[in-house]
Amino acid sequence: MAAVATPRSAIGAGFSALHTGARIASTLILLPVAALAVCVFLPSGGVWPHLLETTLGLYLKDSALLAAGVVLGAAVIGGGGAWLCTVCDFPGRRFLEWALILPLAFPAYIIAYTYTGMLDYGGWLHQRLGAQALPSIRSMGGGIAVLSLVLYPYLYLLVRATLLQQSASLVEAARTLGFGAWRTFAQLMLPVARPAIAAGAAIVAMETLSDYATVKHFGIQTFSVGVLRTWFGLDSLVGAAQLSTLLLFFTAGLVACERLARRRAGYYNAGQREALGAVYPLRGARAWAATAACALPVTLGFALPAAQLAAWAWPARGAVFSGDYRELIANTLLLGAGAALATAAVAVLLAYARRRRPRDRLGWLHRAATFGYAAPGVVVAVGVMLVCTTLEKAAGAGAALAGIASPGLFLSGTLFILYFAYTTRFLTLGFNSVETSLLKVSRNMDYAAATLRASGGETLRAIHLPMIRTGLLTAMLLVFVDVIKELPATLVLRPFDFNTLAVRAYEMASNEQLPGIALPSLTIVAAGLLPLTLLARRIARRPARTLMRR
Amino acid sequence: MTSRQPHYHTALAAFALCCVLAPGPGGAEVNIYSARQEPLIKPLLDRFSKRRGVKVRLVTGKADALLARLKLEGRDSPADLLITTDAGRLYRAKEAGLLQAVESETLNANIAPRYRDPQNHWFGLSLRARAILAVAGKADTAAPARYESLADPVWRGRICIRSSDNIYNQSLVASMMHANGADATLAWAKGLVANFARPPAGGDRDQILAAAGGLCDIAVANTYYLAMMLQSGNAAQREAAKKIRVVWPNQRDRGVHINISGAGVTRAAKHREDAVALLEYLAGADAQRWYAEANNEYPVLDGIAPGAVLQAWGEFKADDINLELLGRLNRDAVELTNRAGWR
Repeated sequence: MAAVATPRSAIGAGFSALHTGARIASTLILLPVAALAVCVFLPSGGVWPHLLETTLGLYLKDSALLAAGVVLGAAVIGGGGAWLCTVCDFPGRRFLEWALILPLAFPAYIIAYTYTGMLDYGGWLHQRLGAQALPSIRSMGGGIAVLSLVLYPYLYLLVRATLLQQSASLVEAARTLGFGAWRTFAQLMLPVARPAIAAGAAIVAMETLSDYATVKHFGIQTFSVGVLRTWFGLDSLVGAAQLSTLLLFFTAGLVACERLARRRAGYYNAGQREALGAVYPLRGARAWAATAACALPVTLGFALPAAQLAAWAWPARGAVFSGDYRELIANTLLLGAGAALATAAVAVLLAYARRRRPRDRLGWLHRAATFGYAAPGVVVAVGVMLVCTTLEKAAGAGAALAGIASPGLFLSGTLFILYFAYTTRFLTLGFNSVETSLLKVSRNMDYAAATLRASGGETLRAIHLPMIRTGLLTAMLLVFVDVIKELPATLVLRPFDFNTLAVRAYEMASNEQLPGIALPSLTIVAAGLLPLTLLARRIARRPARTLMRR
Repeated sequence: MTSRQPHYHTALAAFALCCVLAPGPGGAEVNIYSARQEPLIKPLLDRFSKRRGVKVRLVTGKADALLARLKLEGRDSPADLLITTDAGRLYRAKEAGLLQAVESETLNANIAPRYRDPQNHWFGLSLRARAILAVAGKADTAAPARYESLADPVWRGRICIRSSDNIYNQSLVASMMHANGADATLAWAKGLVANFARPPAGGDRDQILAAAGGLCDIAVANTYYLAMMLQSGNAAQREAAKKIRVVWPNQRDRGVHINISGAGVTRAAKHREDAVALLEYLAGADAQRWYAEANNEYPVLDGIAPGAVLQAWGEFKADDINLELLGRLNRDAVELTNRAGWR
């Protein structure tokens, strides 16, 4: 114990700028969510008795059903896909290996609109199959299907990364023992991948619970719908905030479960190993079945809706070259890139502070700061506005005391407030990815650096950042792709005359002009494809080789 | 090793650039928070901008989110004008002290008192009628002549209507509560729910498509959706719309339920004069004609004819309650739909 204690105290000492910075950042990011939680103590104007009597049970039931269904669906598609593409070999594997993440480029509500467009009166599927032959997609089943198709890539990415890090000798040993692919999967890989599955499931559950547009379109009554109905319909922002807080507590429970699952799996990178890759070559019918199983989610979650959107967009294709449209694209990229940088920076700050002082009493702050992911975007946006306008008013009061001109609204209506909102909302994506990569860096590195009297900043720059580069890039790409799809916070917080692709798609959709959403939606998907391709290349690389090269 | 490190300073500089690129404020201008989508308001704003030589800046979004922004920004808010697509939200904005009274002879002359706030905090700028739409050959001969009849058991499993989350339905319920009282309206809503062909999903256009596709015989929707479908570039939409007949309900009593799109000058307005001028422009003949022709809404200004499609559906008697009532009764209406199990 003593041998461990000495380097740890050496590491924890000094470098308090890091911890101060981390505390300020996590407090700021926690504030919008905390502002919601404070509403628990405010009177809600009699909303609760009414909700209890009428719709609360429905919100609970639909939320639980939807979240469970989507997590299950995403786990089967994402986990199964990761297993097949990493450990087995079959025709088309090299293509499907990266194609499986493509549905991530689609905003869920766009897939929902596209499918209803195909299945509703006048859609080509409706014309081919007739109204009676089709199950109604506007249902719980439809919602589960659509959200699973869009969200499974999170699980796929995480499970695949975990599988790739396993030593090939592990599977070789199983083979020597005469285990078939299924048995290796069930008895060896499932337990190994459990933390990744849990982490992915938490992300999928949070995305599902915070979704509004898709469930609204399908008539599913989740908590998000209830939150906004309470706010918009019953005119009770306080009641809505209280409902959101309930949702956040539920999420906190999920996160705690995920933590517990991960705690048991604290393995660090033990050094060089042989990469794991395609050890079960499948043949004949089994091989083609594997191809079909991986091709199906890519087709339904990407190719088919993309083709339908392209068909709708074709007559209006010329608009892409107009100045107006170029501005939409530039604005969208500006938001995505800025938010990716900001979120990654905060994620590194928090994750690194946590690593330097694992037993910090205020460590829960960093964890709590990632809860914004589970609240509906528009509710987070209100929290962010509340924090910013309070700061602005305080600054105004300070200026009045000092006898100088009030700075006015120096945050509201600027891009800063948007980046603030995105960081609040998507920090968990960046944080998880950075923290997981940091965990894999052996602590001996820190100890060695401490022995060489390197400061925390030097250690971070010279050792950790280069080693977690892949995780950092993953964090930025995931945030980028999510931000360019994000709608509700963007809509209400943006500056005057500042339109993005998602805003344009929304305006077309709320005008109920389905074909009008096609062009901006396709452009969002296209903008997400480049980072996703980068991501796919990164994850295809065998980590062992990367280590060896260095 | 050093050369392989990512360029963190570059990243920092890039982020700083991202923040700075925000567009800054200009000179003479009117700033608008609008719940009306850009394509449905921008052409008019551009015309006004050209005429008066004033820059018009726009943020669109969901009405309640924009209200929250306006409220939190307080007296520093840059917004001069709030535009919504229903009377309820304007009432809410007024109650929250976010709007100010405007005394304008033009507005008073052009807009009937029932379509504006009694204290002139907000003004209706276009009218939308919520009609009963019947599938030709299936329901039009016996179509319900009143909203009240939608709850009759003959229509069991034959009606499509969107969620009661939607403000148009909430306003319809509010108007019925005003006309028939809360108890009778609750009983009616329960009967209506029992008659649903499917749980509510999608928007007004989706209900019309569902009716045309044979899922139900009656849809309840605002008429401009049907008009848009009739003028659509998509053949299937036109074909679907042609199967539908418009039935004007309650012609022997209070009339068709009407809502407005409207606007009010904010209390925080820094460009009040230009904002009032914009309001007057929107209530004037030029803009009213555009509403009628491009948007298929009914103009508030007397003497402007509705578009050709709307004229084909004939004239109708409109409910003449003061629309402020819709705002007053909105919360009660939502609670009533919750009790009735209308999702």
